[in-house]
Amino acid sequence: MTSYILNRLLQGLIAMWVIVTIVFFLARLGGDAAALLAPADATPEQVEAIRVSYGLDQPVYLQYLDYLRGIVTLDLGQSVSYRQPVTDLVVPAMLNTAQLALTGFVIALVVGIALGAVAGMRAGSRYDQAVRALSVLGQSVPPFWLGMLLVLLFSITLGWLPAFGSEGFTSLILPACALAAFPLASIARLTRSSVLEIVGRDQTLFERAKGVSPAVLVAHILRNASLPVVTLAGIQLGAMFSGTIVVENLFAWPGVGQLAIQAIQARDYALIQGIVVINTLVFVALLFLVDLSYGWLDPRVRTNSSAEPQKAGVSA
Amino acid sequence: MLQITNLTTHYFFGGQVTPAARGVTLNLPKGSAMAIVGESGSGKSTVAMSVMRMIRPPIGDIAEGEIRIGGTDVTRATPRQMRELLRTQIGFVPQDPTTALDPLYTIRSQIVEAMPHVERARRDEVIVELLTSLGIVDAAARLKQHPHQFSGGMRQRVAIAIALAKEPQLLIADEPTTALDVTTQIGILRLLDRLRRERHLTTMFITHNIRVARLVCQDVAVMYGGVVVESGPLTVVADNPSHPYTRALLDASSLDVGPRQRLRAISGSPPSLTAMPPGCPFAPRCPSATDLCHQRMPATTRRPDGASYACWNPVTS
Repeated sequence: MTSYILNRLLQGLIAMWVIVTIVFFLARLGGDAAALLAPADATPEQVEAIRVSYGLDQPVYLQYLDYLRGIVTLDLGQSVSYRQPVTDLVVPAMLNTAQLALTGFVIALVVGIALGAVAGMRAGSRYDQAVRALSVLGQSVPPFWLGMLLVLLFSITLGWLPAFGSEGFTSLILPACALAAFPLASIARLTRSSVLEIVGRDQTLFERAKGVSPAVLVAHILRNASLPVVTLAGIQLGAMFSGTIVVENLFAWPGVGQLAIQAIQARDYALIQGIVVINTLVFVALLFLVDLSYGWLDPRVRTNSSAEPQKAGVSA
Repeated sequence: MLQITNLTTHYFFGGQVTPAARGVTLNLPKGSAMAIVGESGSGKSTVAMSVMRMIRPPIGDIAEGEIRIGGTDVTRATPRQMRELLRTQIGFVPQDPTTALDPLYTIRSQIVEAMPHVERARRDEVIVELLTSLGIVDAAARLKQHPHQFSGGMRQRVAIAIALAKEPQLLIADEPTTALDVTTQIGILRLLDRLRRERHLTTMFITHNIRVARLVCQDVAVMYGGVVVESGPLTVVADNPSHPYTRALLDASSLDVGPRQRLRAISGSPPSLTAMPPGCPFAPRCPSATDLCHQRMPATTRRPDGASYACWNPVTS
């Protein structure tokens, strides 16, 4: 297991390094970075001052090393539009986004697995048909429209929950639900088909033939069915972090999505770059956690990365 | 020990009721071993699955008949009673241990699930003893391993250990050697025979190979199209079959065929479950079929040597 974890950690670090390198060189492809960083009405002298203050007059490899050092120490430069260090802007926004994305994710995971598992075990029933119809609906409704419907119902008509803002847990519920709909539907669908497949397998028949209690049987089915769901859930969680842009703007939630829109409108290059780097970091970390849980769930994954299993002794 | 009387089991395919076993009557006294022989679709697995009550709606159901294990009628058992029966009385050896064992659980936890009567502290000791007696070397060190760390033959021994951990009265083996290498097959067959003798296990052995059955069983029931066409002591039936299908099955697996000689296959293919002929199911492929065979199902005739058959025109040797 240890070698498996180290292996995955190394892969994650390499992926991280490749992405930040691409981000660095893409920025240099876009022409004169100093001119991009400077406001549109800057004089040549001001552009030159920016070039020096950002180290853009240095050779590229020195800039690259400086950039890497900055990432390692979480020093991502200075935001032009906010006149603050990028890290101080992105990290709190990322924490807000994480709060929203993780709440939505927990809703999607718990409800999605519960709906899908019961549907899979009662395939063909009325309940199953209802779950399938709901998942198609959940995957087809765009989050901004669902968000507006939720506001209309729960904020305006019923007055139970705030329509926007970030005042405590109640203001988290509506955006999290709007965000959760799509992954919830995907997870429910995959759980259903996965459970259905495991129920039909020989191993379930063999488990039944042991005469075990329904609880033990369900535990076996769910653990086996969870393998593809874990992979999907990891991807969905990553997508939720970047998919918050629309929902954050709709509900005025002060997360990375909103910050990114403002940074793009202000052409705040250092800030955009910082957002991309932090997003990548979060994404790679999430995929690492998915791999870890995969290794924890499936013993075949654990042992395949280490030495060959010992050969069976034969005697009859 | 196991008495099956007039069992009829249906499958429900696409809203259609399909009989997979029809009027099956079998009797397995305590400690005896009976082979159920037949091709795919003959209903032999359906009988085994009916005994374990694995065929339930919406897939299918037992339509008629009685299955007695000890004093209990399986066809009337509640789900709770059936679980109790499976947990204490019936051991099941699967066809392919690779797909039957759960890949995510250690073999220890999979065996423990099947031995609820053993007190917690003694479990490991009992499992190691059981695995060792089944020919698994260094069993204590292998308890924490998972199925993928075992070879095919060893996996089948683990599956047999699961079947035996409950100390059952009845052992149902569903083609237990089909998925194994030829060299490991003999070992597993000998093991099953030894276990039956040592533990007085009543054994129901499902196979398509009547010659494999000879290594383990004293009795045989030959099934075709959901019907038992011939049954009785294995040596009697194999040496002197009355039903043309048994004859053809023995010829098809005959060992005295040389190179460049034609194998004696049975022409045609088994009848579809959805379009079963009204008479004898073998009639369309039978060399000695008459009009009567096509119209009416023959009754069972007993022979003086203990065998019985269902045929209008039995083979005379």
